[in-house]
Amino acid sequence: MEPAETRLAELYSRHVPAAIRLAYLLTGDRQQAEDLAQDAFVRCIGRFRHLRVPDAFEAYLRRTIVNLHTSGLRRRRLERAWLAREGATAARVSTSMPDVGARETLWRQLLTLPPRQRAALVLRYYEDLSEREAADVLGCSVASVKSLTQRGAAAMRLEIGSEER
Amino acid sequence: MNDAERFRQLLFEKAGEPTTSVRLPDAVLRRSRLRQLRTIAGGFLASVAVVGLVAVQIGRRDTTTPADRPTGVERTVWIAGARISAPASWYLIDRWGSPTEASDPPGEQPLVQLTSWDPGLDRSICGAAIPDDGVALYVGLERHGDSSDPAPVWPTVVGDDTPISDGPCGAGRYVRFRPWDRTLFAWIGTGTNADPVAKHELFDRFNDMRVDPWPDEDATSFTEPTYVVAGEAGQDPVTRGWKLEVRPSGLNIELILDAFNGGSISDFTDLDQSTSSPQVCCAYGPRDTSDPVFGAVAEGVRGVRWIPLGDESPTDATILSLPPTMPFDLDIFFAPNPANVNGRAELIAPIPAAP
Repeated sequence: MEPAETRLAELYSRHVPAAIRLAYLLTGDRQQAEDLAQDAFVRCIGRFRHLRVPDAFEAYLRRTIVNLHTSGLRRRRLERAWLAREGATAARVSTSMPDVGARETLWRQLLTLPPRQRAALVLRYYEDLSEREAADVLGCSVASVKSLTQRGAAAMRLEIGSEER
Repeated sequence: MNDAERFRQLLFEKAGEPTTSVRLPDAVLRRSRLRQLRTIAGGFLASVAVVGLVAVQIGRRDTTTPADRPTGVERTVWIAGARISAPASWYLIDRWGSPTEASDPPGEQPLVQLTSWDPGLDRSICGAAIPDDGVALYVGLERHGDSSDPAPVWPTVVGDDTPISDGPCGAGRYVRFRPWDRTLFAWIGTGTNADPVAKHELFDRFNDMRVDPWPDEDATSFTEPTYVVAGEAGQDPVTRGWKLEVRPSGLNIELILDAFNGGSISDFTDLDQSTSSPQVCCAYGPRDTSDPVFGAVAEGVRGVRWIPLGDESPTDATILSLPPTMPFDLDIFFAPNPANVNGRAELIAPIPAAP
């Protein structure tokens, strides 16, 4: 394998598995998550030499995934409509989430959220980013992240409060 | 265990569901290598395009291109906590969050630049040579402003009687001011033969700036600088309206619509420049109805109209040229989309065949 290819393979193995996990939480679909992470990887590689801070590749990849995900709004609007119809018959989630059924319902509710609300919740509670860091990834203000998180949590009837960091 | 902890646990459980291979698939390797080659080729072609474009412009006047298409419209936008307006023919550059360069004053986070000429995005105008007829405004945020700083509070008025001195950006009018708890620094530079009208226009734009409490603590992003080509400001930095920005991408251009409801949305457009069809990027979303649709189109088209889905009344889009330092065969367009629905963009007239 050529040195350039070895470098690509290293970058891929270091970053893409985590990227797929993030993409899965955003899409809820394994194949779509893998495609999204790989698309983002290819796009970032194209701009890699333009990055002023190569160490920022992981953050750049994360941002590209979120951008690609939220840019595909038209397709996902259909998904959300379908999920909303499917979810309409599901029981309301209690805040105590006592069983697997409730967790699955919650998972489905997460997937019905608008992409940016979902992304804000995933970045805050899975990636464990601060509001400031999540704002960088989403390309918006801290106030917007707070708003997106609160609206997402409210839509899911979660009492997760504000974890200011 | 509270809801936040349960929700976090759910996310971690779900994240573990996809089985991921660490091996780079051949298809992804091929695409990655192709992408890298395209990026390199794009840079080379861009250089060739500059030379070619100059030669073509010297040799003939392109009759298919409306003459003197502007590179911006009169716009008022929020850039972080500062609201600033720019004349249509001037260049407004958002540098909030972009890396500090050697030319930037030490200890400062660059915020915004406004110039009467296109200075490019490669470097800050601070310390750069000003064209004889040029005027320039540079505003930065002092990272470690002291609360006891004696700088005057906003508003600060600049005019002909503001003394000219030497400073980190060169000769010009320097102002430090403290709106709320942040200290800002501004440099106003003018060329040796600057038109007094342009100079006073710049003074007015600076004096009309509004500075509100900073929504963000610090700019830690690695965002590259962008041209702000259009926008409408909201009443405060939180309900900030929208702005349309452009900067180079790997292949050609990246367009960014920065809007309050839904944050910003961007696309690495990498547009196919060989097609004459309008290409709408990020056309709409579940955002504010005041947000426009936007996209890029082959350079020189006579016009583009936006046709919302289910609506028979098309709207003519505003078309802008790219700044001269972005030598791609593309124009930008944007159009209001008050119904906030999807639709399509069409050329108003076909592109005439090349002579």
